[in-house]
Amino acid sequence: MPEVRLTLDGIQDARLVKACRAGDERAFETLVLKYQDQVFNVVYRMVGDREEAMDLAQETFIKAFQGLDSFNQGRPFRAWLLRIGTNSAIDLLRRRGRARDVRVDAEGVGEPAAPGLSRGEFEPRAPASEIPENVSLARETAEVVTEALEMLPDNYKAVVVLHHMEGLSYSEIGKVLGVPRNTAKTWGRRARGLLCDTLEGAM
Amino acid sequence: MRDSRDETGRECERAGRAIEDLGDGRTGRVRLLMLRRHVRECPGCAPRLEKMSAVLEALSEMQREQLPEEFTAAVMARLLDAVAGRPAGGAERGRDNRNLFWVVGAAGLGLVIGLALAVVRHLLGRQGEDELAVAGHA
Repeated sequence: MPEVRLTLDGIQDARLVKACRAGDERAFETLVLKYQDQVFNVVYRMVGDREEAMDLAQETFIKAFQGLDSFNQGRPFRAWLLRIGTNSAIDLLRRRGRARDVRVDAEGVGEPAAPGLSRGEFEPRAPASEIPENVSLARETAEVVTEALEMLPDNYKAVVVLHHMEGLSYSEIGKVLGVPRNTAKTWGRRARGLLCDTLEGAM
Repeated sequence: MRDSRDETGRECERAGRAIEDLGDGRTGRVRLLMLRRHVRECPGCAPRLEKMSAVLEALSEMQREQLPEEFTAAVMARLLDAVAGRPAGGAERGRDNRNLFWVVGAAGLGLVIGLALAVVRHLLGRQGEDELAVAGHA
């Protein structure tokens, strides 16, 4: 993989990683403090359970520390760390038996992975009719979107979480998920399309 | 008449692309103004924009979960446990190197002090012998 130009943040991370490799545990603690919130929120949105997300976030940092020797310091640490986190979350979902992936072909065109998810199977619960009338439409919409997000295929969900909640660019998301930038972008568009579809009867 | 329909179709296509780009966060102000003007007159595109805006708003307003304060300490404690149970490498190797440095340093310092004491003792011993010899002659 070609080296990428690191941002200032990336350069600082690379210094901290170097210090970690030399045995400075405080340097690693600095990295934990810097990224714990982001890692936790990403895995939380992926798995939807606070306790499991806390455990996964901790595991992510342990795995990262143990893998520091294999980390290429010319690459961004954040993307590498989030990759460990999202992969751990997807592994957990697989163990739970509810992982949903969408396969990608050479052009980045996704086909539902057998027996994965087709558009017809993506049916989050319709807006509950028992929602009190005084609950605003915006809040109701937000609840529907949150629920629909949980039902998305894992790779689509990862793109939505990383792009819309963590503010990563598609290029960074590509690095996190190990796919080309355009594939990440396609997944994002399809994910938003599915989320919009769920609002069909809600608006 | 046909031209008018074609033009409307093209405008809807452009509007569709602008709505998708809006989701990617890269629709400029001019395109957004054109999009708004189009959806005011287009019953087909208006709901698309409305749904996309609602989804984006909902996503941007999702609350971030806060971690408990002890999270960092918990990670570092688990880390130390994990390090204790694994073969030397990475950070542990670095710590071993530091330990080796201190052991070698302490040994070196001990050797220097020992040598210095031996020299002092030797000199004092010779001085004592000389004094005894002088006393014997006397």
